[in-house]
Amino acid sequence: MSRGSTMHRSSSSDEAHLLGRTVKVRGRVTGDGDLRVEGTIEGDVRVSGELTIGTSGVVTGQTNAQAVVVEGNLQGDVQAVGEIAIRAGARVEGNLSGATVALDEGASFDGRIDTDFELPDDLMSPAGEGGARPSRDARRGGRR
Amino acid sequence: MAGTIIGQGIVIEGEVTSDEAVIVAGTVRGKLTVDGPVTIEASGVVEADIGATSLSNGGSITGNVVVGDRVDLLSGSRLVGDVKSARVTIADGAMFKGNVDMDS
Amino acid sequence: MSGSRIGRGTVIRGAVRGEGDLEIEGRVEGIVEVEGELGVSASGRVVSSDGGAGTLSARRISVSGAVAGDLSAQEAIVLEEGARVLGNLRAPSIGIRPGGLVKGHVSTEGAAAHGGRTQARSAAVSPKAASAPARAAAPERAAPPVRAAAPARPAPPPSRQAPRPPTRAAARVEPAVEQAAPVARKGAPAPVMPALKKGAKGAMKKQKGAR
Repeated sequence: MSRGSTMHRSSSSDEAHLLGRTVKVRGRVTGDGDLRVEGTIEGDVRVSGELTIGTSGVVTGQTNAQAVVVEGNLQGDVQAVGEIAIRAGARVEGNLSGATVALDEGASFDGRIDTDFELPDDLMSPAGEGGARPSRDARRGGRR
Repeated sequence: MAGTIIGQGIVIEGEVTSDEAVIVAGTVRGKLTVDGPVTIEASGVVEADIGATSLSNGGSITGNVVVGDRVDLLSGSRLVGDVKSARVTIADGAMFKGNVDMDS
Repeated sequence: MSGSRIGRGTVIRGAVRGEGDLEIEGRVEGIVEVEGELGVSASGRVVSSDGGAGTLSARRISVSGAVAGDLSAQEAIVLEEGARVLGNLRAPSIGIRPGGLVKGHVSTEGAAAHGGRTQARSAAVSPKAASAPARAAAPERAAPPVRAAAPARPAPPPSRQAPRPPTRAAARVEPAVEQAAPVARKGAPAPVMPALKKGAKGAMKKQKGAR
């Protein structure tokens, strides 16, 4: 069941933990290794490995992990070093910040996504075109 | 096929510049500056000055046209504006109002 | 012929509107609104972050290229691998494939952006939304800031004119965003203008424009 157990993590994290369906936690959860949540957590979660909120999992709080996968319900901000994945059927409300964020169609999401990236150089000023024109020019052009 | 196609039903208000072929079947209002051939289809409406290497007009143009090579005004087309081009053909049935300058 | 294409070698400054599908392989500085499917290819560049109601809108939007501006779709938005979007996304269904990058507010609820509840919600959120593009643009380069997209809008209302030096937009940085965020998330009404610095002004206009 615990998909985390098949994951390989560098640090002290051969351990994988499962928070089962019937488990309800009110308070902070921290740990090394991976964690799969099928139960309910009201509070912040911080793990060194991958955090998976399974289809029956419900988390209300800030989460912080190497990677985060959400299949269930999450209300709160997510911070991941690596990837954040929101699967189809998941419901997430909160801001996501990670190296990459993948959002499946069919997921419900509302929040800010902040991935770290550079826009291509030619977006704001096209190459070989002397940059964006002063406003007036284009405006006049638009009206003619 | 490369190039730009402004299809029927599309309206561009502003400035279009390109260095490849442009086909207009929709509407362009503003300015059309192309370093390549411009084709206005029958459904095309251009309310803009046009600069191009060549122009084939089957639609309606209101604006001045400056073209390097040749301008063809096809039957059923309409052009109101001045034309500057080395060669100009006006087909029978083309409507044209303006001056032609073939100096080059 | 309902399929339109802005080719690689083509630049449009202004508004592109209409029926049918549109594929952007070139560059558009301005608003894009089509009733069909809108595609921004890998080579496509769209800059339209001057606010207003939905700067890119279509029934479906698929992005592989780079966009600075808000996206809204009646059905779905998909950011493909390689997509880079600086702006807000709103559609009933949103997909971000691995390798698709976004910075902005993303919402799958109430894509019909005029629904009462969602409207209120987006209003509360807009301060940070509005400052989002500027924020990432700033580190990019100082000279041509996001405001550069403004020219593309044809015939803006005079009130918009209030000339602000372009550099101001670029200078607008994180603090404004960070402050605005928690407030907005609680769903509190957007603070009055003085509290918000420069970002607020744009946001307010944005709201007005949306109505």
